[in-house]
Amino acid sequence: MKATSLHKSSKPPQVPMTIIGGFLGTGKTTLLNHVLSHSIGIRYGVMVNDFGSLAIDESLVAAHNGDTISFANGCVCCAMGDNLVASIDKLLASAHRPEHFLVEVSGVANPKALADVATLHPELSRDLIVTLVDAATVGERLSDPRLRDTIMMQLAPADLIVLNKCDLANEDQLQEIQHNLTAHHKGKLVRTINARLPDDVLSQKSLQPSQVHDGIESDTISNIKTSWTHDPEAQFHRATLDLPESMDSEVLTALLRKHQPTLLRAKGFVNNKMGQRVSIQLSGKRVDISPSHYSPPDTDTHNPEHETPAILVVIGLDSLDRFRDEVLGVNNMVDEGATRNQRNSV
Amino acid sequence: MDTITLFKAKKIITMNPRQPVADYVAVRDGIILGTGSLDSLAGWGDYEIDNQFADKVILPGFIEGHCHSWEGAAWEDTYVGFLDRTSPTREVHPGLKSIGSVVEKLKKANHTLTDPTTPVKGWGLDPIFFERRVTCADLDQISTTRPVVVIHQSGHIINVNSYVLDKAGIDGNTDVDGLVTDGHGELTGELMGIALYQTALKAIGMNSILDMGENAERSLWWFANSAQIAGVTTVTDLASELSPEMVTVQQSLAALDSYPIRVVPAFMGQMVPSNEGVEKMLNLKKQSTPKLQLGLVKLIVDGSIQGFTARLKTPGYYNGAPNGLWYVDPTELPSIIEAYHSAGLQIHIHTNGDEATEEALDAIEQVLKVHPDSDARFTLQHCQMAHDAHFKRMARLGVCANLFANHLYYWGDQHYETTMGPERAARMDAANSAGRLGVNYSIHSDAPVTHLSPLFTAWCGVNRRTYSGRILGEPECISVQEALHAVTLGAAFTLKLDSELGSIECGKRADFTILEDDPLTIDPMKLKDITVWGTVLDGRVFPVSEIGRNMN
Ligand SMILES: [Zn+2]
Ligand SMILES: [Zn+2]
Repeated sequence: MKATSLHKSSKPPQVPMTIIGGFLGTGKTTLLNHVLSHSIGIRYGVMVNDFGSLAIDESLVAAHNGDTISFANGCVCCAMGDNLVASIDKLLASAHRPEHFLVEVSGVANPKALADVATLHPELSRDLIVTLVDAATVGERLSDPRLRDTIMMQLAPADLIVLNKCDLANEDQLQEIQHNLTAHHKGKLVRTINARLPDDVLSQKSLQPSQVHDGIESDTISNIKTSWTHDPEAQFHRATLDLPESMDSEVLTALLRKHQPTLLRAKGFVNNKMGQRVSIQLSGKRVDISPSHYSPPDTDTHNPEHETPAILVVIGLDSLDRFRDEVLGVNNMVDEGATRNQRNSV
Repeated sequence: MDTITLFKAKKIITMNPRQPVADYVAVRDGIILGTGSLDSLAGWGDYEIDNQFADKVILPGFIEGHCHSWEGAAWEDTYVGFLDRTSPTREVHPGLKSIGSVVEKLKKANHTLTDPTTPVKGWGLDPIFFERRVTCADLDQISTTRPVVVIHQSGHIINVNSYVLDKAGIDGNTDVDGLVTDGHGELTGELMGIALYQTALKAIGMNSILDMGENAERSLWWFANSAQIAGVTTVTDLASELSPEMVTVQQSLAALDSYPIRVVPAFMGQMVPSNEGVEKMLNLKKQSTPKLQLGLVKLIVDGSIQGFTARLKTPGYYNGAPNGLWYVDPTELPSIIEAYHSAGLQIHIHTNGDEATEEALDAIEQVLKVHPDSDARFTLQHCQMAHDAHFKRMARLGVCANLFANHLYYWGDQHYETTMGPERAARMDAANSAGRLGVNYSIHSDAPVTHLSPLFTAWCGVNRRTYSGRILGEPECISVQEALHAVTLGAAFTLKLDSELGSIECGKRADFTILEDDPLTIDPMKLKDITVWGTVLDGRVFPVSEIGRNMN
């Protein structure tokens, strides 16, 4: 096997951890089973801290060579219960090292508390916090003083709110719920039935450049191609952007941060200021930059033509027009800035 | 036929209303034949008189209805609490009244360690009593080359030194909840929440605070000795994961005649799916023995009042803090209770705030409608904020209370000033109301959260004094007789052990607490200072002075 990129990391990549929260009956397990049965080529480590009536289909996990563990209620008391970190380490050290962790937390847990585990763990990266609510019951629950603050606690850190069981409410009711849920915080909301989220929402690895470029002509100035799809069921917008080589990771990071409220995930490759290709990822509110792990096909690795293409795949819940437009505008400025910098440094 | 022993005492307080006091108690084969005069007991047959308690007072063996076996394991580490505490090896550890003295004591512990990687561990820290919080700078004085970890009294917060923060990769840029910073944005080393807690422990090679590991046997001996020193013959362990390994250790200890306590562990019912929990507990219940009573299930509904995690009804916390946390989904509670209850397992439910108490009562009422049981003896543990309406419901539903009387002394001032405000602080752990309204109640220590001593707990129930000397709700004070009932027969009733334990009368087990003074005649303010001479378990005598000799 040939040497790949010069910048390839010697450490194994961090394993993303997605946290799935929400009350019992909101569809957390349904969502997990759906993801497991639809995603191909990802080895999931599934951790369950909820003992509801519906069980995780372990055969689905096994089918991906993954592992399932249920952990005892660590949220009851930090000192009691299974050591969650130890359980994670066990899976990481196993022959079936997961490529992605999915954690289903208990019905009254604050999903942020579990996401923090990923933030602190050197081998994990904190992925999305997804909080489910049940369209049929959330109205009643929000007006119940026993439950309201717990629901709000679960919604507050959510990168994605899944308003599930939308078939059990009418449009007026859905509008009202949606208004209530989004009034207090900036999370992004998607409506679902049977918790059917597109495969690329829960896993960064599934986020792939669109195969279909749907006819929007590439812009002659910026060389950005866009492909807009609107999933009628899940309301996601996607774009695959071919970035010009002049775009650097700092500018792209700033843009992703700025447009974070619109974006759910982004994954791409771009040069840093040193001219090294890096991988850049946005999940929820986090932007991570890491050495490019892309392994180009054989042939000369130094040939720029075989470098990872400068590309960005984005998925969001709102129109991505403004993001695209700004990338266009900034690109022009960046071009100039980059040129000036180059001149200065010579 | 076994010999009959007649223990002569200065006074025997029986808790048997038909014979409240006596001079002699007759014991055969670990069973009480009766109390009374020599004449009234002579008919049982030949006897030997045992005079060793002739100048002492005998009570039914104290029953601690809510404590944790962690009371033993805690003493593996250095005690740095604010109040005096006696170790299971009978050393008195004076309370540490300043952060400086906490540091000094941990420095001494550091000097005794030889392996440079062994952590210095302290427990019992309660910064609520200090003018400021403990910081890394404090703990760095102890060591900068080995881990220093101090667990707070609540068990939910830890302080660490810079070494641990570095090892765990935690710095000012770490974006997680529960990292405490000082006024200048510097980390203080105070860590809260499962993520920080476990990450810090992992960094220094520890699995869990509660993991007794290889020391399980010693820890359980220490637990027993702590109880024995306090005159306790029956302890709960509320709650435990009851892992097979732990049950094996407990069974081997219970089989020893020299092991001085009866243990009633409760299984943490919400740690596994209910059907698994039911199966596990039905199996364990069959292995129950007189010294290891298995079958009790515990559920936890909310957090703690001083930690602002208890669930309160409107108008909530006195200082405006947001409402606390549910530790179980209140809408799921009925189905969990139903699963264990319908399998014939008894359930104790931790509720601190009044909202949690109401939720538990609603759930119990709902379940009892479907599975009627006039003697289920659901017990609300802590039940600190219950008021008359709750007690009336509890009486109607046959629900017992185990009130956290020690809280009145330990945190009563904080409840008065910060958490509950004066009016509700006066009704906390309202033992008198519970009794008046027909609820069977006990009172407890929750050791190691507060120190294990039913005489102190009784003192709290009788006097309701806070640490500063304030009396919280005088109308809720109970008599000494009532307080002693609460820590004997009252507790036995909550555990469904009152036909065997809790009073000194014919047919019950010969479990006694031996005191140097008479609690019924002593100044009630001195109740907590009465010396415990020792205990008797199943007729076997366990003097406190001999503690340590039986240990392997
Ligand atoms: Zn805790
Ligand atoms: Zn407890």
